Amino acid sequence: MQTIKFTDKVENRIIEIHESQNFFLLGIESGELNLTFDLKAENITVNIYGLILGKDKKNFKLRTKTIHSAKNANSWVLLKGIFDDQSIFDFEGMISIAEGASGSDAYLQNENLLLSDEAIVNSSPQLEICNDDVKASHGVTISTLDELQAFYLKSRGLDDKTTDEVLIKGFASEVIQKLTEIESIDIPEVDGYFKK
Amino acid sequence: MVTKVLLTEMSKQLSDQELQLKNSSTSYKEGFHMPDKSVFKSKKGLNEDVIRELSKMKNEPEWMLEFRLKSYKIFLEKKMPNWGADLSGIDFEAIHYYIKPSDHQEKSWDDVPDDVKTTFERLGVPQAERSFLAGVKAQYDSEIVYGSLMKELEDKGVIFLGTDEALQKYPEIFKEYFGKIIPPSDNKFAALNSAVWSGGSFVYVPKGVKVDKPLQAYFRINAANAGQFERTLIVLEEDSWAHYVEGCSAPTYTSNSLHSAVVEVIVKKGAHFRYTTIQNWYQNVYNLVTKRAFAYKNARMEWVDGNIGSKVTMKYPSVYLMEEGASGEVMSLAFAGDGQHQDTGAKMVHLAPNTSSNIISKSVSKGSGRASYRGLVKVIKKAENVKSNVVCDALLLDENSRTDTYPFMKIENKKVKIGHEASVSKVSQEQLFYLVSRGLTEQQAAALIVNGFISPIVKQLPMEYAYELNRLIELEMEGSVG
Repeated sequence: MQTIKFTDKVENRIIEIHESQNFFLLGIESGELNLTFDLKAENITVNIYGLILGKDKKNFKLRTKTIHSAKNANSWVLLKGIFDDQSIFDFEGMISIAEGASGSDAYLQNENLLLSDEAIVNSSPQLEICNDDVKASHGVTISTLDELQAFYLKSRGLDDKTTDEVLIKGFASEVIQKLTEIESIDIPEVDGYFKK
Repeated sequence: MVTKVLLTEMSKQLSDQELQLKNSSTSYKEGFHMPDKSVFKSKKGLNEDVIRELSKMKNEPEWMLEFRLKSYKIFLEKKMPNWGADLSGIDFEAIHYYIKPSDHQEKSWDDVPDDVKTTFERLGVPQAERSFLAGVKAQYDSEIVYGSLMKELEDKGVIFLGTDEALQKYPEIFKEYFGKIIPPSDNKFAALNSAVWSGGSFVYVPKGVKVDKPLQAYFRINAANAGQFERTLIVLEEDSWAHYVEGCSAPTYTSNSLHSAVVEVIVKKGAHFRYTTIQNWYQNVYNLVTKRAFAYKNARMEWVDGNIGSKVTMKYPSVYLMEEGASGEVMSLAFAGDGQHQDTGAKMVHLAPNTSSNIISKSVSKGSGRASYRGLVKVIKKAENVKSNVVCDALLLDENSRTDTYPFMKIENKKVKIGHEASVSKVSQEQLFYLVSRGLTEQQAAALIVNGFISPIVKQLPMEYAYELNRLIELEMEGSVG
């Protein structure tokens, strides 16, 4: 698995992919990532997981482009973002399927949790589909902590702080679980964020 | 079952003429044209003199001429949009900006010039008026040629006029709202419309009045190289209710036409308004339209936007949710056949707390057609408890068909529930196989599946339109193997 982190500079990368591969995008520090994932071989699967953890005035710009150039390839993008304080997330996620790329199966999901009234999320998932024999879809959600879920946890005796922590961790757990399924990784930055 | 019966009925009702059309491999029955007998036609191209002449012929107040000239300057300054559809085929110098078909607007079809009357009869406008409409405006090239409104609505204070007529008769209401929702500086084509607008409808529904039958406008381009720039202004006072329907078509010409409308809608406290469009321009028309509504406290605004025709359409009806409790909905349907690009969508701008919006978009691309969804959901910082949901489904019928989705979400408040999902699919082999095994031909089966796909939107149309749309899709599906 390849980990790509936001650093304080602009990073443009075109990644040509010839065999099944996993990627992990991690956003802790502000930065800009422009990533093109070009699926060049048939019958491969590419998973891209991302966790963006924003607080203070951190500013994340992320542009991903998943290009299906070959037939029968699968791509799956799952990005979860949590934004506190005055953090900002700008996201553009394109799925582009070329004319000859029949049998493609592409999915992009971006879920965002807003914890502060001053945080901002701009999300734009995009599709450009030039072949009819494909499955392609995307979904975006933007919301805050669920009041009913919080109420339930509190009624079971949890205090406010623990309640929030449980819900936030629960939100991020899908990505973390996927990552640990692939290989046991230790991401100290993530623990740091949840411990605050 | 019901659909199957409908299908059989539909095929029975195909008249000889339509069969002939089918055989000549065109499905566009609105493609005829009448000889151009306009009483005035401005020279091709646009300059200040054309605008002055037009304004003078319309006997407009000075402020309107100034508004037009100012808008023309903005039009010249603004650049063409560098996103969306390819607009390089538009030659602004090759277009007649003002074509006046007759001297008066008539209140009886008998007084309308024969050619014009025949045109609208063939389009079925007077027939529909008799059976289910509360009022009608018919526009031919640049002017409204016919208008009617039920007496009882007139007595209640409902105003349904051509926009030019409204400027003369109700200058105060007009000046209060005109250009306030969509200023000329909004975009290049809104500026063009503001400079050369002619015709369109003006609707005013007084407080508490419910107009329970639809009001309808039909826009027809007849002349070649024509530009049609209708301007519609609709005001719903508090707690009123209305439904407005518009249809459009144009003859089969090889040279390009330009249709660029501006539609401004104000829906006040507690009012409910629905605006339905069935756009079926011929495939030489560039259709570049700006539509926007302001919805105030607890008001509801709905756009039902069907785009079947035109060469290129760029249109994103929007609702600005101005005060608490306002809600907006856009139901968008696009069919892109060979050579067509439908770049359509919706915008929802949440400017107040406790507002909600819903967008449903369905598109079908066939042959080399391209359907794009482009949309915006914006929530400003002070707008708490906003709910917005967007669903875009695209159906691809052929290998070289194309579909795109470009939604934008700009969210500045945490207390929101925003959802967006989009999916792309093709006609499934299993569904086709099933229907064929039940005795349908492959073509009927494909048409049935397409009709099923778009049915959530078609259901929202008045029955006559739903029927017509199903028929159109049926004809569009001719020759496609599915």
